[in-house]
Amino acid sequence: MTIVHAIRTTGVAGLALVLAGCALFAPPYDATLDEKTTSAYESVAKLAAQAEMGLYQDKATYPGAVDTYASIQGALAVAAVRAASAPVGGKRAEQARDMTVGFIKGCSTQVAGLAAVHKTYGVVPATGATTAMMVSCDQAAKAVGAMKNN
Amino acid sequence: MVDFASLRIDNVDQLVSALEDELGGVSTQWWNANKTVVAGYLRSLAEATLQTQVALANGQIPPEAADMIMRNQHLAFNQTLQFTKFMTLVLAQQLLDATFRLIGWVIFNKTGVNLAPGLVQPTGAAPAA
Repeated sequence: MTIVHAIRTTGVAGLALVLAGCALFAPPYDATLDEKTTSAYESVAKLAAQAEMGLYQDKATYPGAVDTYASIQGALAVAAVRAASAPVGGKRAEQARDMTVGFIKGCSTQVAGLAAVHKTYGVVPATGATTAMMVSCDQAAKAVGAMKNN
Repeated sequence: MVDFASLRIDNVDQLVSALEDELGGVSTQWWNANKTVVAGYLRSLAEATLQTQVALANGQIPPEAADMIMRNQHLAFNQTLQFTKFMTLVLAQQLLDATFRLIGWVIFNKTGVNLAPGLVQPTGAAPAA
């Protein structure tokens, strides 16, 4: 029996674990999570664009926008729960997974931050009010898609 | 070292340059390793900061609103720093996968044994050993 035959018949499962591409540093790509996060990010981008076009300049518009904020927050909460369940193969991959969850929650925190500005003062266009939200949500989307095509 | 008392920034490019110098001054090694990831976010921060500054100066927003906006920016840049750490982990995983994808194919092509099924996914029949 050659070594190849021996591997084929007895040791493949054990050896495969060595080269299996385990998530040692970062969780594997999750297309469903990517889709959900990207969808939420697109809603965030629309919200920011509306704010920058002056739709929310008057704080009296806040009650009418609550559904939009709530819808985005709901989508981000679903994404965060899914991201938290990604399979990992070590502490560093666990750290990367937790960071991904943190980025999604960070996006959510920024949506809440914009809502607070909106509710209290209104969102005046071109005052830098929407940028932090866009940055945080961009990073959440990038983190979720980072392992795509790997 | 920056003389903060005399610091006068008139445009986004100047602020970006000042921020890059400041970050590079804190750690050249960190800046060189992460500037490709951070540069775009730093420019966004600079653009938004000058918008906030101008709006505050023109009385378009009260100081309290500017404070809320800048606190959100502080949180976002804190996340950007975390994001650089995350991208380092992603790069390590990509390097690991690239290495063992190639090794897996080398072994598979000569033996027909797939030791890395997560990375090596042949479409046809296994080659003869």
